[in-house]
Amino acid sequence: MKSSVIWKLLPLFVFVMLFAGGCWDKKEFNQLAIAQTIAIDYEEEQYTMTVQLVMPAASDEEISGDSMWLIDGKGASVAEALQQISYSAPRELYLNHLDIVLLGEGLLQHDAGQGLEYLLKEHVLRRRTNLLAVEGSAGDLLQAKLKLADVDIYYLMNLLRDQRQFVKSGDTIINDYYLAMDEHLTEGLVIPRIEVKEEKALYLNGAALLQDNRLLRWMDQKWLGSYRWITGGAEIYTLPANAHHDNLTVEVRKDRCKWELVSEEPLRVRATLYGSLRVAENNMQVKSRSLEETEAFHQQIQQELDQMIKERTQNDFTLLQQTGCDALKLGRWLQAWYPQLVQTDNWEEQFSALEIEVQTKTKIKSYELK
Amino acid sequence: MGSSKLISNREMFQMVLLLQQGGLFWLLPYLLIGTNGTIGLISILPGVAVGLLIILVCAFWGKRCREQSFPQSLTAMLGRPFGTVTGMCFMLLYLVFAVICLSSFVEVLSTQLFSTTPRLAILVPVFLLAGWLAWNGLEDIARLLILCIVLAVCLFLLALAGSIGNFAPENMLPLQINDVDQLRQSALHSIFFYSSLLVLFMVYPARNQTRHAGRQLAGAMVLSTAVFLLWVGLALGVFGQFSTGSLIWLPLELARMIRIGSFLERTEALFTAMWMPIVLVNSGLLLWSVTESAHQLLHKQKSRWLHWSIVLLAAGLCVVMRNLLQLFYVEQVLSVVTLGLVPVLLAVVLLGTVVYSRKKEGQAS
Repeated sequence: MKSSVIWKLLPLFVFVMLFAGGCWDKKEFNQLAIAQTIAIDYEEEQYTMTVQLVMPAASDEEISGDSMWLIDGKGASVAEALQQISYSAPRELYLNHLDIVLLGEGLLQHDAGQGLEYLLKEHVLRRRTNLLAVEGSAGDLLQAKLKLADVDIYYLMNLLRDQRQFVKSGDTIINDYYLAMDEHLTEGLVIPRIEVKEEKALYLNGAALLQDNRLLRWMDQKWLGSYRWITGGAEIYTLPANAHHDNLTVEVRKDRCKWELVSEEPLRVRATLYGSLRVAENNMQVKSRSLEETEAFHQQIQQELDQMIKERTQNDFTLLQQTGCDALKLGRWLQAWYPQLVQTDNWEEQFSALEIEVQTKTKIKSYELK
Repeated sequence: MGSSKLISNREMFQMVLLLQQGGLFWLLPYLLIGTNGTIGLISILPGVAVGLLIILVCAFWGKRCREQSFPQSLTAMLGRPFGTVTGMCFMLLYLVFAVICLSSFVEVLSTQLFSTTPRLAILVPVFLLAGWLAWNGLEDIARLLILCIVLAVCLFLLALAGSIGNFAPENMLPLQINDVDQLRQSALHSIFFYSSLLVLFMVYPARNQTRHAGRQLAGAMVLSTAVFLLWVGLALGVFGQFSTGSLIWLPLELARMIRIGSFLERTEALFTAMWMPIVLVNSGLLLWSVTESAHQLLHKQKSRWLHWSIVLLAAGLCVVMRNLLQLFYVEQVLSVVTLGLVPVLLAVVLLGTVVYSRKKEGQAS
């Protein structure tokens, strides 16, 4: 090799040596206590953090319950609580694996942002980290001994993943929190609630409704269904038999909700729900239809469903307006496109008094014939 | 050295395209958005205007003084003492840009990724590599740019794919000016960053084509600005105006939103590693401009001692800026200085070129 080439390559070797030869930020796998899930509570002016740790041995081929530990720490701040945990953890705490944060009721009632801000700035959490709300103590949920399976990140992620099949944008991530709380408008944020049912299993049931960094109230699954009806998702309907058709199962998939301004005084908006329908007849004995008859049949079903969806959605909007909390981000849309119409200081009342029209635009995507 | 025809117009185009995507790119969004949100982006216009002016003057000078390198032509146009002083002013500006570019990247690495690694341990290899690139010369830097453009496109697509699910145009609105002073400050910052195009004076004579490249370079700069605005627009749509104004390292935050399977977690580390060549090439170019100017002003052949002394000086200046606050402070001071200095230097070059070319025509006739 020519000496000139060696001189050219030498700095590259120096660079590689400096970074590959065991640098300060190296992490040895079997010397880490890897945090899988974290729960943050607040009670009596003390933050409690409960961390589920995995401490694998180098020889472990798979992670079992034997290598999982729960440690908690208390402090006047999240930083102090984390410090307590690191003092009692037998290995170096590694928090970059975290993908879900459980927020306890106490923290939600106090100030959810206080728990998240420090962890975000320390790069423990990312803006894409999922949030789940727990009614009561989040640490207790993490420590629950369930009959079905241990509470760990895989269980929680699977619940969220299963939800995604039916609900569009059903996850709440930290970025959503900051978007809702940073806005000058009083906007609501929905965080899915997770709870233990009869000591058997975990369930996603209802949600926490936050406003101004604090818990406004707990919402049940019916309310959440209405909310998600508007924001996007899928729902199964059964249309009873009538003069025009037999018993039908219809899967309604809502793609999006488009807002339009109808009038400025009084302030009226139109919500156009776009969606697709998948229809299946429940009756085995289906008479055969011609193409024209099938088309007319589809139109009939579509009209019935559109009417039903419209009525349901109108009621759901009314229900949401009654809470006085704009969890639909309608204020954000109005402020973006028609800022002169939004009363920033009085948006809650304005939202409650707003008139919302509903329009539906659905298409039958598939029709299951016998 | 300066009169060697080493690079093509296309490579120069790529150089300008990537100049704003280097280390300076990490800092500029934060300085532009601030408390004004989306409307703060209009403060990039003064920077673009300055950039276009630099390209115009450079092309004007390049057309008339092609046979000489920039420091040589300065002494020929303005006389030895005044030409040397002007050349040194340019050299100092190149040094300042190189230091800011590398310092901001070192700051990203040490605060965001390598929190326990001593800053010096990061700084030394980064400066070594940039210095080594500069030592190898303009041709090597130009060839490496082709790879960097591919990387830059891949990184943008990666960030787009990772963030598009959370993007909403409503998050970028409404447009309202909250702080006029902040807007003025942002304009100063953008002028400072676009003034890094002054390196074109060093690069222009090294083209191996006679066809002038003014329009191409202007196009490259506009395209680079458009890409930059796309990045910032993406961030605004994902994080909202308020959050974007408080996030210092915007590309890194966008990288943190990327999810690649369930096994890859620290995507920002991968992102930064892929971005590193772009930063190194940019800073290599800036360092090359400094050392090349120094060599020509001192009438020296390629000297290791001079080259590495300058790299050491740049590294030393970076060491002095111990944290982000100091970096911001220095950048703020420099942005004010640049506002006064750059137009004066451009005017001097322009006038000098006019007088010199008339003298040359007179002599020829």
